[in-house]
Amino acid sequence: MKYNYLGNTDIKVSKLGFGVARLPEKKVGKDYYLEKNIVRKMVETAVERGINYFDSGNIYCHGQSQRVVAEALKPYRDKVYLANKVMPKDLNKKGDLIKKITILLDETHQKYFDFFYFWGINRKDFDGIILKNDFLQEALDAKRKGLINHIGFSFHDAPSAMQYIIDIADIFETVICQYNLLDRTNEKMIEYASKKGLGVIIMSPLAGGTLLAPEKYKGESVTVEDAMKFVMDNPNVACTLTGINSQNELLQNIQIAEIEEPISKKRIQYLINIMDNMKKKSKINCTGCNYCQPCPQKINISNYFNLYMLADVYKLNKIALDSYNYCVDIEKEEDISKCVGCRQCVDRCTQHIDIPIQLEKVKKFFETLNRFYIYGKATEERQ
Amino acid sequence: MVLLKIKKIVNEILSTNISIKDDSDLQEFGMDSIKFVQIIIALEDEFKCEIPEEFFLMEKMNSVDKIERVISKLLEEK
Repeated sequence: MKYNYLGNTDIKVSKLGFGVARLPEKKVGKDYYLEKNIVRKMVETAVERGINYFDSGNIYCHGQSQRVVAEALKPYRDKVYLANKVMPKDLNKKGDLIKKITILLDETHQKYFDFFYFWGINRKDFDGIILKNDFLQEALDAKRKGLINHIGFSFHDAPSAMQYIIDIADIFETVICQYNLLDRTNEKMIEYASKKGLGVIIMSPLAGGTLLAPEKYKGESVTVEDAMKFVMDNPNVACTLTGINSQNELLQNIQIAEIEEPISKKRIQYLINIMDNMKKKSKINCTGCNYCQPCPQKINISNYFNLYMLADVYKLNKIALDSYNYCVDIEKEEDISKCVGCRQCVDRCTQHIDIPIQLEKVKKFFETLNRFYIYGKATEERQ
Repeated sequence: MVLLKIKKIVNEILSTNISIKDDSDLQEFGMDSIKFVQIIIALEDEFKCEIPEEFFLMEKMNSVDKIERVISKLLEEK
């Protein structure tokens, strides 16, 4: 395993990090249970093979993985770095951050977290919650008290917002953001963060599974190795997290991380061309820049367009449909149906997409796809 | 007229300029689940109707003539 310095910290982290969001679970009735024995074995293997960065969070695997992984790490705790996070929505008033960190430490039976993150923040949350309530100072207080050792943020917004956050807050030592062959939006910001001395950790190197789509849909010669190496060999990336689901996946990822020969520039260009050509096949030319935000109805526009692309271009029908149904069923606040056609987004769209019309088409598409899955499948089963 | 409109929709969604025979299996011309759904949406828009769920099986609408029978029946019932 190779190790990189994590920004300006004196810590060397393994090139491959262990993400705990997709660990194996079994469903009994309506409840999900983590496959504890398998997870323990996976953690043991990961440590033995040199992985030293473990990224956890309290919502992963129905809230169970942070505790199970922390428990499995007990024999190796001094040799590894354990991260945890808090979402801005869980921080309402001064004092909440330290309270939340204390709860997470109790839940995972830890004395401290090596890294602690403001989770999935955007500029709106950063200004409206974190700055407004002085949570940066509270994070420093938590560090002084020894509850956490390093402070970072994980990020979901336009690249300009990342630069804004890095420039305003000088306390961040690391950043976690998405970067992969399909979505290179953060590429320049990764370089910026790295030059500013932040340790860059990448999530979703396989684009949430999209790059595992059938070969014929993602391009003839793109492999998991290509996708992982593309991210890992970026000199501005210190650590790459993958959401590991099985021992086999873990071993495959380790094998890829251990390949010493870097991916060639020629190969990278070839892969980028394939991905760019695939993107062009999408009927909605959304780049995911999020300049269309803020939507007064809080609709996550680029997410809906991305889900449409997953189905239309990559043929990941079920993944896209499940995600769509999740957005409209659970996150009511962001329900696509709430579009009132105010068209504020249209003026801001860099691709000049008629967003309200396209959102309506996306909605109709997924509603019809739902009907197809429900009735088409049901009829087939009856035959 | 109905048949022509259906052919136009099918050709557009399957992105083909080849003349598709009325009884040809559209799956051989690249119709998958997504394209099937897109064809249904386009048909519903064009003919201002709602295709009943009983036809939400590719084998029931996998050729131009099968689609025409479904649409014609729906238009008659209007």
